[in-house]
Amino acid sequence: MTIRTILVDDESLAIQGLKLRLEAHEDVEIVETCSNGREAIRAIKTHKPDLVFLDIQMPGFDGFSVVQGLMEVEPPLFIFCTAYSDTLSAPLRRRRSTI
Amino acid sequence: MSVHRFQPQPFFADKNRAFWNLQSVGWAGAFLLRGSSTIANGQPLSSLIPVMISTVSGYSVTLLIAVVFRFLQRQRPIVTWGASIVTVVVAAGLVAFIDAWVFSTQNRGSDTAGLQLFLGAFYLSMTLLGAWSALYYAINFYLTVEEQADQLLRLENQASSAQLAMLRYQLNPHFLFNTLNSISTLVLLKQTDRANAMLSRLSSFLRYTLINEPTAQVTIEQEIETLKLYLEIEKMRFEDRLRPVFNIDPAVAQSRLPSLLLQPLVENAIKYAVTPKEEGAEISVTAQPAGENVRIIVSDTGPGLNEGFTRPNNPVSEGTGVGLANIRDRLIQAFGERQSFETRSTPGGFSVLIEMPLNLDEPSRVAA
Repeated sequence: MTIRTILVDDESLAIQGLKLRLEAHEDVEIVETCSNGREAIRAIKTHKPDLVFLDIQMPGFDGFSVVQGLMEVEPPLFIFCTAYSDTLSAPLRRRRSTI
Repeated sequence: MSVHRFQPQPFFADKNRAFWNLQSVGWAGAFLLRGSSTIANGQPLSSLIPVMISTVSGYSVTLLIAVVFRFLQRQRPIVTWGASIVTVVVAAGLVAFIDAWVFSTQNRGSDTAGLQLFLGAFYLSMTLLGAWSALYYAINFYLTVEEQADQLLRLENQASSAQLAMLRYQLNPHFLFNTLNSISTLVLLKQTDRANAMLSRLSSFLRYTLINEPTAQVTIEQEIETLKLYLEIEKMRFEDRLRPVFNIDPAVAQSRLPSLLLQPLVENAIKYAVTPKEEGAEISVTAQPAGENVRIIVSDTGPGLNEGFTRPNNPVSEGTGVGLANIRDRLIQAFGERQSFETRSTPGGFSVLIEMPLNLDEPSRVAA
């Protein structure tokens, strides 16, 4: 059984890079790639993947908004991706109360 | 034969030499003055002898006084003043005694009383030595003040170059991180031509940022070339969402500005205008003549300042304030009052308007 995975990143090069690196693992199956938060919510609701690689910093609908938008469905496992080491810690601390 | 090159040098550059010159010229002058007044009064030539002896004793005594003063100068002010006055009085007494003794030896049979002679000579030597001491302290005071002013100037220079070094553009490590990641992906994708193009742009950009001295000035043309390198690299990530527009009037292209002055403005525009909007933004850089000045405008079609600040999850914890203040400081360092810096924020975009003098001169090398 494979791990059904969705990749979400607004930079196409980042998606390609992630895809390329995950292709080396036979048990990971990439079912869709999305370039923004709204697409991601739709795709996750449709495909019900096991795992989502989610970019935090995206224009409009960012990674946290995606997670919040999926609270009513059974959310998959998320792996947050970011280039900024301080991006994760600060917003996570802020959001602990809201999520 | 050796030829002495004339080297203009301040008179007090060599303090010791200046002292001996002043001392000799001063006492020679005093001798000439007193001697000529003696002759003019119809005295015989032989009466020049006591004048000469008096001058020589004055000359010698003041050498001793100088030694004492040099020591007294380092004491507390009250000691310096008190002991100096005592020294002058004692020295004047000594000179007056010699004068009176010489006079009375030369004019045996004169009926002037010894004490009267002494008091007359004392008055004269006191005046001379008093004036000498006043001059000595005045010159020393002047030299001390001058030295302190020099020191202050040196310190100020040090401080301002340190400040400049601090204000200098610093490469954003995230930029390097993202770019190298992207290039790594391009290599994995076997897009070697694109990867190579990115690497050479990155290295050109790095060379430009690494060699930039804090005081270096470059032409607007060079600055724009660097901005283009940077934007080309960022376009690899943002693709069509990043839309740079350049409007550089050829009349100002060769005008000079501090290097990498505009770089942080473009970085800000990417951070606050391109990143948060799905459709991206236009970043325009305009340089045009404005009377005697050059007007440079860096603007974007992003959400403007306030919205950018209140945006939730804004990944950048530090505001634009520091970066903009930094640019303003660099402008002040480079052009003093002859520049202006304005920001305008509307819901349709953020823009920075800079004015600086048209500066077509080759940079004068600043001595390090």
